[in-house]
Amino acid sequence: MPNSQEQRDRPFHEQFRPRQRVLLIDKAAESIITLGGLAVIAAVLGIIAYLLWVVYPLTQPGKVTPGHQIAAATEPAFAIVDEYERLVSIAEPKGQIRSISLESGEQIPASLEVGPFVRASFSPSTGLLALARPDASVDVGTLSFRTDVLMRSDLDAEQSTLTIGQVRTLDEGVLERTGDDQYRRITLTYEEAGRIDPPELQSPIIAIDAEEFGRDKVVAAVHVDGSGGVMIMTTRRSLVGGASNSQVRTLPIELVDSEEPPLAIVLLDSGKELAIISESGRADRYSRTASAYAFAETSQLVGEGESVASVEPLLGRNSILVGTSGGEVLDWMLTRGDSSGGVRTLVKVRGFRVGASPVSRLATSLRDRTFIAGDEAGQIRLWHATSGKLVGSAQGPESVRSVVVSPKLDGFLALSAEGITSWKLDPGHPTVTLESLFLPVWYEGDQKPSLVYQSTAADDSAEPKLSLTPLIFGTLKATIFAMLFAVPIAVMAAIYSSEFLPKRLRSRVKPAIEMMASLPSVVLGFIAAMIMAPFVRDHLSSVLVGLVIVPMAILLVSGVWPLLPGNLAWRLPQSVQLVTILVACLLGIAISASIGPALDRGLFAIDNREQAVLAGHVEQAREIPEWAEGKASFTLADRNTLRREGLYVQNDRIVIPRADELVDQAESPHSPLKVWLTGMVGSPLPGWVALLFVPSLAIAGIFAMGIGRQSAARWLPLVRVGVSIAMAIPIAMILARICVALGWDARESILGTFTQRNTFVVGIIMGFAIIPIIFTLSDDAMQSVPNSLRAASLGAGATQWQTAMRIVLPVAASGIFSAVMIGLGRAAGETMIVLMATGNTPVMDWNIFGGLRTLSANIAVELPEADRGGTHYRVLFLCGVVLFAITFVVNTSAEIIRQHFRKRSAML
Amino acid sequence: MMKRVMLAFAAVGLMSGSASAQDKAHPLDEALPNYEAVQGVTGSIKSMGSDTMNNIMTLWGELFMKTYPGVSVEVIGKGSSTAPPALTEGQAQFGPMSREMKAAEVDRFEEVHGYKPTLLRTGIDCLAVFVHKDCPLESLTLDQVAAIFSVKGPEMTWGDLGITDSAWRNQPITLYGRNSASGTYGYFKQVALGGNDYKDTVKEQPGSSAVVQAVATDQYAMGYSGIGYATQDVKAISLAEDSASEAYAPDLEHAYTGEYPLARFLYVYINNNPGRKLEPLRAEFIKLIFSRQGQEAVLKDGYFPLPADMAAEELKSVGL
Repeated sequence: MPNSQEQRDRPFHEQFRPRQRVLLIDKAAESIITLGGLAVIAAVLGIIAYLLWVVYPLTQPGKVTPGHQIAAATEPAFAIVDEYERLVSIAEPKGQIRSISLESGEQIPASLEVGPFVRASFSPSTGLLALARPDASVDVGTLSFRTDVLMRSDLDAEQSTLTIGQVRTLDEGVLERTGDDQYRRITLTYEEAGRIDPPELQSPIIAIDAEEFGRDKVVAAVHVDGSGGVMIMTTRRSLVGGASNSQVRTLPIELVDSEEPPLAIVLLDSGKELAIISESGRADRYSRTASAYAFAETSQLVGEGESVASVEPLLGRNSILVGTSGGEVLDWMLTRGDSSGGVRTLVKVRGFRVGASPVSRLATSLRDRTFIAGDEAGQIRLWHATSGKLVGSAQGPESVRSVVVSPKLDGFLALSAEGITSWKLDPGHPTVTLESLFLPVWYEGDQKPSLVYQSTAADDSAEPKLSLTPLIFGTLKATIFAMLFAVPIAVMAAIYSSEFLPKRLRSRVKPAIEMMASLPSVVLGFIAAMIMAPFVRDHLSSVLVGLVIVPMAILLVSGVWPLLPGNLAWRLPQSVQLVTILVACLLGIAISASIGPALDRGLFAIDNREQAVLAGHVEQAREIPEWAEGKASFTLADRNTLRREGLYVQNDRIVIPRADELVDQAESPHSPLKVWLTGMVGSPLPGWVALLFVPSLAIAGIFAMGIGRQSAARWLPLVRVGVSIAMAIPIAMILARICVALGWDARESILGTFTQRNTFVVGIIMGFAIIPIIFTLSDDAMQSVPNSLRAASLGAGATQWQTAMRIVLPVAASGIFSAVMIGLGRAAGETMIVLMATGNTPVMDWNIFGGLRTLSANIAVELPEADRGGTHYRVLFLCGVVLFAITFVVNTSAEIIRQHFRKRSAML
Repeated sequence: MMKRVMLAFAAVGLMSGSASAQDKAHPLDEALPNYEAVQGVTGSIKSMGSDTMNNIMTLWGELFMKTYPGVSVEVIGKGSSTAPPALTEGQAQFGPMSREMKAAEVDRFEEVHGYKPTLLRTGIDCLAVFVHKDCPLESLTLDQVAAIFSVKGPEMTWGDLGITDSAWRNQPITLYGRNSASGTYGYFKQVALGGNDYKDTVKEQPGSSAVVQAVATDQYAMGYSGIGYATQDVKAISLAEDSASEAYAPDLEHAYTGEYPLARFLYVYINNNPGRKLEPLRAEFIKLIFSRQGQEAVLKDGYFPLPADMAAEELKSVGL
């Protein structure tokens, strides 16, 4: 406050000094308000801080801490560790499996005798052990740790004196006290499952692999003489009664000639595929057919001048890890092969560099796609194969013989000639990196990197796919379509109610619309899913036509209105005007209901040839354009080109309708529009005409405005409306032709296959949810424009419409803009409507008739299942952070723009 | 009008027909013990987990509350994946699940409690693939199911499944499924889809009944859920392991033999400290589950009961 003012006021103040009590209350109120304000700011900042605090660990690497160091000479064929990391078992080719207590380093007196073997395959995930005997027979069994929970009463007095956490070596295992009266005994057990007799020639086995895939136990072996075979034992168990039957079949591998002996054989994809890898890096892949494993392809796994030092399949057996002599680990993956032209093949996805020494030891985790690699210099690294995140690293002893990851991925071991070294591991969140959350990731089996959100599965071998991009996309898609529907209606309604509606009516209409805002969004979602979606499905063409016809009907009526005889149009009460508009709306709805299906059949007509194609009356095309020959799959653009030459694509074959079948087909009961939307038949033209009609109407409207500018004839408005509609049709046709000539097809972008739960429905219902708020705030903004401005404008001879458009609207623009932005924020965060009305499908296309999944719906759907503190849980919090960021950016930019507008209008 | 009356009549006929057929073909095992109330059972029970088993848990809960008026039972069924965190954090005593716990979930439990959770098999379900009741499709192989629902196959129309009816053949198949919290979602992905990802066009519904409802109202839809949610408006189709084997209907006989490829157990997980006796409240509830009355409820809910020897085995595993 300026000084002079204060001085002038002083005598007044002194004269009427407020009482002490009032001052006190004033002071108290001030501090309470300040406190409240600060608390709100603190709460908001606190929430952001908490969200970030939960999300932060996702970006962190794993932690490695040294564990035990035991001196023990080992020469393992393979080694395993139990899930509590108390016992390490080491299998030696002489046929002994020795166990060592990791706590004390003592050897367990009793060792398992499995008999001598030349090659062994052990699968840590299922415990399946296959031992190739010197006589070329194979023994198959299950090797596992058995854990018994014991009570104090089960033990003798000496054993029960352990303190909690202490481990004691027993004759056949280790005993650990885990609680007050609880003990845990861990022992190694081996159970024989079967034996494969040696082949007649008794040629020794040179490479073997075995794994259990659900009901199948599969053992694959290659012999020195170049023969190979796969035994598949299928066990079917009835759920009740325990009856089971086993079927054994043996399939030969049709080995191709190779100068080199195989280094390893790896079963892939549930045993349906296998790869035989030689030291030079040549990998021959064989696929299972009814009678044999047939040769499929040869790949070169390592680069020039390098050789393969180690081979290990990744969890799930869809990828092979190859350790090279140059110090790298290569991730080779078997792609799925799909309908869009992809073929099944081994591809190199990624390389991981350990050091410069050969990577001779590899092992994989049982929990996820993490693997451990050790090179001959003793460097040990753990990576997550899919995300590429470095999980841990350590320097181990030189000449590592074997590396092992603990079953729970909470530690790892290195076995060398000198002893056993163990480390504790906190893997953190190996499956995600900032990159994998937002950029395409190359998942197992895929042809190329992709953006996928599919968070959980029944078992650990399926990988979680956590890309937030489809969710962000879904949020934007839902918001944009909702705004497209809501903003014009809400803002125009606000202009009407503020500037044209009589006060008395306005005071009733406004609260009524505001009541709409109090409708719980779950109710709207329910209406969308149960009533709207089936209705739109059944009457799609009518609904779409209605969106154009109803506004047009109102325009026409507004054109007819001034033609009323005499000055009737002015004298009639406004309620009659409103009723007339209502009648026009109803008329528009009636017209669209009746012409919708007709327009659908007319515009998207399926001709006889196409009917024949749809009905499957086709034959192979004889003349195929050069470019299309040998193509395995066709894009929509390809198909459009072919269609112009009378060719069609069915099941990836180029076909033509059979000549003799070109008779009139019975009228299909379906709307041709929906068939057209699938992209199977029809030219792109009608879609463009339909899409471009509204913009053409706008263009024509602008042009028609100019007709008879200076004239005040009564019939002019009607002429303008009529001319714009008449002109819109040719303009739309011309624009559509241009689009088609450019090779565009709307079915690739905002149109596509119709599904019942779709964005269109969400857009409309969510539009309804945000209309009240945008309407109310815009209306308030216009009401706050000083009446003096209106009076000046009207007094200067402007019409009510001119006043509204040129005076009120610009002044109120900042308020309207912020109303729209608040609506946008509401739409972006809306949960229940999208949750119920869409299929929650995380797709990435703009198809208005397709589904979507938003960030908020994703949080609502998945949070109850997420393990507190787990990766998934934190990713869901990240969804919250991203959503917050989106609304923050929207609101901040809105505020900046609003301030700008406000400054301008303040100058008035 | 006439037609509608006839239809309604036919529906009633069908219903009574299937009900009587069920009574004959799916009898309860006579040897299941009768449940007898004991003294001194009070407290409250909370169950959290599978949506597939929501009704069944509620039925058991009602039976239990009828027997012991002093007991309250609360059942929340948002999906199997909600059971492990609830059990681990002690928010619920019972965790019904339609799949087995994942290793990581068991780890979390063991980290907190020092022992593994205990699994009880309480009934048998056939995960069914549903189509609209008017759909001409009768059977599928698992490979076809995988091609329809997973990224392994292209977008399909009903004609791709061999339907020649002109009203169906060019219609795309609309797919409905469960949300990822569901054990059914995971089981279906693992067993029926061979571990392949779902197509991103499979619409995720928050509950089994929502899936069945969607299929009932969407003529060209296909969806999956537990057999217990079947209604008159949908049809559960027969499934074959592969093209070489026969297709079996999801019924008790083929569930017991394991011939129906998607037959599975319905599990209830509990936090059972080994070596310590269960307290009467939980012990009695478990006894009720494996009694004649409890298994009758399983049957009533549309699932298949356990035979008596298996029920006894499950009781024995928790020392009852």
